[in-house]
Formats: sequence, structure tokens, C-alpha cells
Amino acid sequence: MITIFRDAVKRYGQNLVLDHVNFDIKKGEIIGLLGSNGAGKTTTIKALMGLVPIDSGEIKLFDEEFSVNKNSIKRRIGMVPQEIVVFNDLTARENLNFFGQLYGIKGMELKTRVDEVLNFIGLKEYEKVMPKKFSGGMKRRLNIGCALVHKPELLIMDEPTVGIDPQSRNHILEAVRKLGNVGTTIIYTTHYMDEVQNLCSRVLIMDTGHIIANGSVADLTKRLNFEEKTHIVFKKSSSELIQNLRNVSGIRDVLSTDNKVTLLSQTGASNLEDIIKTSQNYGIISIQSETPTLEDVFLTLTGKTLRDEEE
Amino acid sequence: MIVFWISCVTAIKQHVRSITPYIMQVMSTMILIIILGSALSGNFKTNAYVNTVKVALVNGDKGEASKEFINFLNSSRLDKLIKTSTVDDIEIAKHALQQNKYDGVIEIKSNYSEAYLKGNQAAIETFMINNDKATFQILNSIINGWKNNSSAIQIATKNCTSIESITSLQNNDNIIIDKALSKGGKLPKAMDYYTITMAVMTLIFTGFSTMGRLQEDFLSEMKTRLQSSPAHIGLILTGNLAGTTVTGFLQMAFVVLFSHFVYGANLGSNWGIVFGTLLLMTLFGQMLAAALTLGLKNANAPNAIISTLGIGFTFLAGGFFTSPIKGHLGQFFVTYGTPNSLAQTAIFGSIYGGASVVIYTCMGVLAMLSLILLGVTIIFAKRRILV
Repeated sequence: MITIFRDAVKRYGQNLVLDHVNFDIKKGEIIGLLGSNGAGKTTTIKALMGLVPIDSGEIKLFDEEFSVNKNSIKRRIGMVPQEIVVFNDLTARENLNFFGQLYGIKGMELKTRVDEVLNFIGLKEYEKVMPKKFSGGMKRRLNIGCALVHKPELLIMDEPTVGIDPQSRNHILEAVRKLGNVGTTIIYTTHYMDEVQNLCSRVLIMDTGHIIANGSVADLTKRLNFEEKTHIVFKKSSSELIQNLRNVSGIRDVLSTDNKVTLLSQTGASNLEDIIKTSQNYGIISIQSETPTLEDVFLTLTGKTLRDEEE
Repeated sequence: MIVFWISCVTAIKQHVRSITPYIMQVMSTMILIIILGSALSGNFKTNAYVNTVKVALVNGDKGEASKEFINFLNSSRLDKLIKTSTVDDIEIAKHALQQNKYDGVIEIKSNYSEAYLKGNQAAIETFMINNDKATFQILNSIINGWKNNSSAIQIATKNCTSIESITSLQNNDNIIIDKALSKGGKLPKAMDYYTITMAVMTLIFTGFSTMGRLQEDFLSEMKTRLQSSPAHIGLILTGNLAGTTVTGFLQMAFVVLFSHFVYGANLGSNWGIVFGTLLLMTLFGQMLAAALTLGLKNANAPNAIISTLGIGFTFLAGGFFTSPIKGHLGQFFVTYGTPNSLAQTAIFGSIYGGASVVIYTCMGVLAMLSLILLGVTIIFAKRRILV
């Protein structure tokens, strides 16, 4: 195990921010850590980095008990903060040199590592340019690079793709995949559910200081009491139609707005043919079927959407 | 320790690359020195020293003590300052003074040696007909020095003059009068004065860039990134402060050297004291900025405080204008009462031959103030930065 949280409790005054948090992370996993504001995500990350002590419980990293300022463990962790935190008046190479040296890397090893990282983040040809002249995406890549110079075994990425263009976003997501492929364990927080669905082998969802869900995206969506959503747009809708659709076998619920109807079906209902038969006399304009997403899981479990919270 | 050096070198690089404030700070100081040093040099009443003061000496005493005094007046140490002519009768001397044959009269009273040997205040009287302040200062300094005691004579003659007289260069008429009796005939110039006072003042204001650096690196998200590394953030902070101190010092050292080599500002013979004091002053400015930045949560407050203190210290130290505080308190502020005064007293003392005990005391107090601020900075840093 790379990380073990056992009954971790943390309070700020009367405010209980971590309430007996338990989870394990295995080597090479890419974990999506999701939670609305105030869920305890940031405190969990800070505790993982040794920046805040927990009041009770246990945190183990790399089979060692972790506490504040345990430098032997800190050397094995990399942190990509949400904000772009680089020195604007040092060049890209100097930034990487600085952070590499903080982790005790020097000499030829430092030069080699910095070259590798510059290539990895695609900034080799801009190594002598200062970040103040970079685009937002380039700055984000350098922000990630600064956490990679010391080759961390555990990388914590806090919303690394906020506010950048699609091209840079793809570059970063590809880089995360590559890091995962070479065995780096990654904890990834984001408000973009599609990133988590595409990248993460497992998802932890936090709410009010608890881990309320822990599993792969497939596992979590299976836990919902519906498996499939069918959206149908009609020329005209009526209460008779809605009633007829409710009577179709396997339908759990019918939601209607104007001429648009959303049907929630039970797992394994295989009722699409019956739905079409029932609907054909009402003038179907379009029909679309989808399986539940992580967004649905999050919404069902927390009653909130991540984006709403962000705003 | 390597973290300290990395942080120090990085801070120096960052400062030097922030070229606009860097140039602004150096240039504005140099421009001030040039303007004030050149434009106000006419207000320096140093011309009085060019002409030797002619004194009629009337000795009514027959003892040995007065002979020592006369030997002292005629010694080579003072021959550029006064020329004495012996006159037998005081009334004749006064008459000659009224006819402008002399600039002043010194009368040694008949009981001088007797009083001197008994340890009483021995009587010497001076007479001047016009209000020539420079002549008055010269005679006054010499006679007071002799009257007080032998150590006072050492300060007033051998080591030129008391330090107070060098740093309080302005009189009530806002005309700069140099009271210094400079060793070897070296006369203090406006350029010397403004080079040092402006450099000292600017060193307080170099704290602005330190505040920016600290806010950017230690009170922003960068703090989390630095804290998450295995390097001790206290070492990173001290390295950073060392870097900003070095940069601030080099800026002002450049200005002072430029004034010396291009405009002939006098730095005396002991540059160690001059630049050592400037370094201490830089350290004080940096520590003040660090303590305020880390101690106050309102980011604008340190700026306002540094501005106020920078101007206030300069004002009280008589940097730009005559200090509004008169008397002993005013003299205290001009000489020792502010960090600027301490630095100026030490540097001018070194340049014009002041007593070394005063110079080193001023430097020591300045170092102590910096150490106190360092302690305060550490306390605040522990609260706000250290995990």
C-alpha cells in the first residue's frame, strides 16, 4: 500500500472537517478525489502532504507512519497545487532546478532530470523563457513539471487543468496517463467529471468530512437504483402518454418537461422496444439512451453538483 | 545549508531581474544626491575655512598652564585654522578687533594657571565683533575643547571635532554650516553629506521589494508548495532575506562608490566602517520589512509603516531639512535617536575622524536593533509560515 488512512479525525475549533476517514491507495493507482467545497478534500490532501497534523487516527505512507515534517516521506511525494505556483522571474529551467534542489537533487542528476521533465511537459524549447511570457496552458505544464523533477512515487494533483485551452488540457491528461503507466501513484482532484471517468482507476467521493463512496466508476454507477436513462422528444406530449410510459415494464420513474420526457429504467430491463411501441403514436422527434455517469453518482450521493459548488 | 544558498542566490537573481524597481531605486537616489550635492553646495559655509582665522592673543597669566594653551594654539594641528598674534593689552586688542584687524580676540585671564592647577574652571574669554558663525565655531570648538579636559581636546583637535558637530549641519536659518575641524584640512562637502544621508534613507526603502518578495513567496500558494518539500521553510526564508539584503546593499554600495569616484564624495580612509555600517543599515531595513510583512495581516499596512518610518527617520536625522525638534532632544535624534542617525554618525565619524568608541557603539546599536527585529521576524514566521 502507498497510502493508508485509518479513522483520521481533524477538527478546526468546533468544525469537524475529517470524520473518521478511512481509505487505502495501492501503488500505481490513479485515484479521483471528489467532493464539494467544505467536504474535507483539501484537509485530506494537506494531511497527506504532512502540512496539517490530524487529531486522531493514523496515516501511513510507504509503510511508514506519517506525521508533520517527516522529510523522508516528503521526498517521495510531489504536489501540483491548483493555483499556478512558479517563479515568474526565473526561467522554466531555473524553476525546475530550484524545486529539484529543494528535494536534494544536484549535479548531473539534476541536469538530467530537468531535461527529462522539460521534454515530458513539452517545454524544452522554452527552457530559457520566463513563465510570465507563457500562455496559461504552458504555465500549467510548468506547474506540473516542478512537482516531477524529484520523480515522486505519489503525485497529488489539485485541479491541474483549470482554465486552460483544450490542447494544453489534452497534453496534461496524456501526461497523467503516462505517469500512471510508469507506476506513479496519483491522487487527482478536479471538477471535470469526464477527466475522472477517463483517467482514474478508482474514485473517492467525500462529503461533510466522510468518504461516502469508494470504488471504480463502473462500480459506483452500478450502485445507483437506475441503470439507464432514455430521453425522448415528442411532437406533442400528454398525461396519457406519461401514464402509458409508467406502465412499461422496468420503468422506475418518468420525468417530463414540455415535450421532453426522461425515463429511468431498472437494471437489465431491456425495455427500449416496448418504450418505442408505446410512444410511436405521439410523434417521436428524437430518442437518446445513456448509462448513468459519475455526475449522476455524485448528484445522487451528495445532492449537489460539483459545478454548482464551484460557482 | 544548501537550501539557504539556493534560496539566497534565487532571491538575488529575482531582484536583479526586476530591473525597473532596481534601476528606479538606484537612479532616484543618485539623482537626489547629484541635485542636492551640487545645488546646495553653495549653502555649505566652508569658504570660511579657506581663510585662516586671525586671532589676537592676550595672555594676562604668567604661569605654565597658559603656556601649554598657547603652544596648543600655535601647534601645527591648528595652523590651517587660526593664526595668533600676541597683543599685550586687552583694550588694544579689542580696538584692533573693531578695526577688523583681527577676526577675534582670545584673552587668558591672570588667574588662569592658578585655577587650572587647583582643578577649577580656568578662565579664557573670546571676543568677536561680527556674527561670523564659522569663525565663532572654530574658536568655540578650540577653546571649549581646551577648557573641558584633555580628552575633550583629543576629540576637538586631534580627532578633529565631536561627532555631533558633523551630523548637525544645519542651523536655524536653514543654512548648512559645517562645524567640523577636519583633520588634514579636509573640508566636508555637500556631496559627502547627501551621498551618505540619501544612501542611508534609501536602505530603509529597499524594504519595499523585500515585502513584495515575502508576500509572493511565503504568504501565497507558493508557501504550500515550499512547505510540501522536505526543505525547511525557515532556511528558505532566511536565504531569501539574505539575498534581498545582499542586493539592497550592493545597490547602495554602487551609488556611494559612484558618488565617490565620479563626484568626489569623501568616504574617508576606513571604507570597512563606511560599508560595514551601510550593510548593517541594509540588514535593519530588511528585518524591519520582514517583521512587518509577517506580523501584520493587512498587506497594505507594512507599506504605509515603512513609508512613514523611512521619511520620519530621515527627517529626525536631519537628512533633508532641519529637524523640527530643537535643543538636546533634537540633537539626540540627529545623532543617535533613529537608525538613520546611528548610521550617519558612524559613517561621518569614520570619514571625518570621530572617536572610534562612538563609531563602534553606533554600529553595535544598529546591529542590535537588527537582531531584535530578526527575533521578532522569527516569532512571526513561526506563526504564519512554519508548519
